[in-house]
Amino acid sequence: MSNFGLRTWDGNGNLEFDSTTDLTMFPIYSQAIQGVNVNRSSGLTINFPQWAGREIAAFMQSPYNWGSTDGWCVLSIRISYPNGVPTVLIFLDNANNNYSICDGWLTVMLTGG
Amino acid sequence: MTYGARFRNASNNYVTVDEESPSYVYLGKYQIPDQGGGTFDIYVHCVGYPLVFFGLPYNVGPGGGRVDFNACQDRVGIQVMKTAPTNDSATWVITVKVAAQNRTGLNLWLRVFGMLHLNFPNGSWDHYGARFWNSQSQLVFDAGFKQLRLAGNSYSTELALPYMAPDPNRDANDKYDAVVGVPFDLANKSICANARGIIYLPYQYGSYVDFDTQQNINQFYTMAYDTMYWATGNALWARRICTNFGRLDTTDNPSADYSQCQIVYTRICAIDNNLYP
Repeated sequence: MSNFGLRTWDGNGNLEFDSTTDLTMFPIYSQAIQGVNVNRSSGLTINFPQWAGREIAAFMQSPYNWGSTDGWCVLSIRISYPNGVPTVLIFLDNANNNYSICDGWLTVMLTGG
Repeated sequence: MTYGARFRNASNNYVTVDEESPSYVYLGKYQIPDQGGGTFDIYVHCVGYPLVFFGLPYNVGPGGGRVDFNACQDRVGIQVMKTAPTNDSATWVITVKVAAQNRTGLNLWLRVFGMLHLNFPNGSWDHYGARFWNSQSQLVFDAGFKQLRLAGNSYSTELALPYMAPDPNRDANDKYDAVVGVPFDLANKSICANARGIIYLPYQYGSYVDFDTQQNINQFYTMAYDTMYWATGNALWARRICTNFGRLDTTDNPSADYSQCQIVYTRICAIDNNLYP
C-alpha cells in the first residue's frame, strides 16, 4: 500500500478510486483523423513531448464499414517512444483510390505507466 | 495544468486530474446477439465519442478441422467494424462481426465508456468520495463513477499482423494468425483493439467457353479476409478469417486488393469484465 495519493470510498465502505493503482486511464488527446490527410506510405505521426517519460495507450475507431471490396478500410496504430517522447503513428488505407479513404477517431490516454 | 490535482501512483508517476484530462467512465454493457455468428448493429447510449471494449471468444476450438477451402472460414473471432453516429446525438451504432460457425453460448458483450462531463454533467448521486471541476465548471472527475481502468499492463504489448496474401488452396487454419502474450489471463476480459486489415483475393479455379458468345469465361473464388480477435490463456490472437466468400465468373482477370499497410499494428488494452458488471 502506498502512502501517497487519493483514495475514495462509497457510503458502504467500498473502494471507488485509488490513484496509486497504475492503470486508471486519463485521456490527453482526441482528434478526428481524415484519411485524406494520412499519407498512405508514411502514415501520420503525432507526438506528445509534454508527456515525455510516460506511457500511453491509443485507440482508433472508424465510422466506416466494410464488407465489400469497395468499402474496406485498414486501421493501424503504432506507439513508440523515441527519446522517451510518446509517439503515435497512424495508417489508414483503402482498397482503391477511387473510393473514399476511411477516416478515424483517435483517442490517446495516459496509462499511469 | 492550472486546475485540478496530481497524485503519485505506485510507479511514482503522476495520476493527473485536471482540466485537460477529463475522465472516461463506464456507461454500461450491451449483449451481442448469440446467434452463432453474424454481423450486428448495436445501439449504445453515449454523449460524445464512445470507447468500446468487446468481449473475446475465449478458448473456443477452431472446429470442423477441415482443410479445404472452408478452412479459412471455419474459425471463431470477433471484430468491431465501425463506431458511427446516428441522428440522435446521444446514440451511436456499433457494428460488430462475429465469426462463430453456428456456435452459441459465447456470451459476448460490448462495454461502453464515455466522457464524464458530457454524460453526467451533474455528477453522481454519491454522497461520499471526491469530485473535481475545471475552470469552466465542467466535472472532470467523480469518484462515484467507475473510471476506465485496465486489467493489467498490456499496453506495452504490440500486436503485429503481418501482411501476407493468403493462398486459399488448402490452407492450414492458423497460417495467417498473429499471437501475442499478455501478463494476465484473458478469460472474462474485454479489449479495445481496433486495428484491422483486410485482403480481397480472387482465386481462379477454372474457365470455360460461353457457347453463346464464344468468349472465354474465367471462374474465380472471391474471398475477403477480416481481422478478428480470439483468446486463450494469456494469448491474444488476431486472425485473418474469410467472412465473405463467393464465386465470380467473368471475362476479366480481377486483381487482388492488398492494403498498403504492409503490417497492421495495434496495442492491446484489456479491462476486467468483473469490474464493469
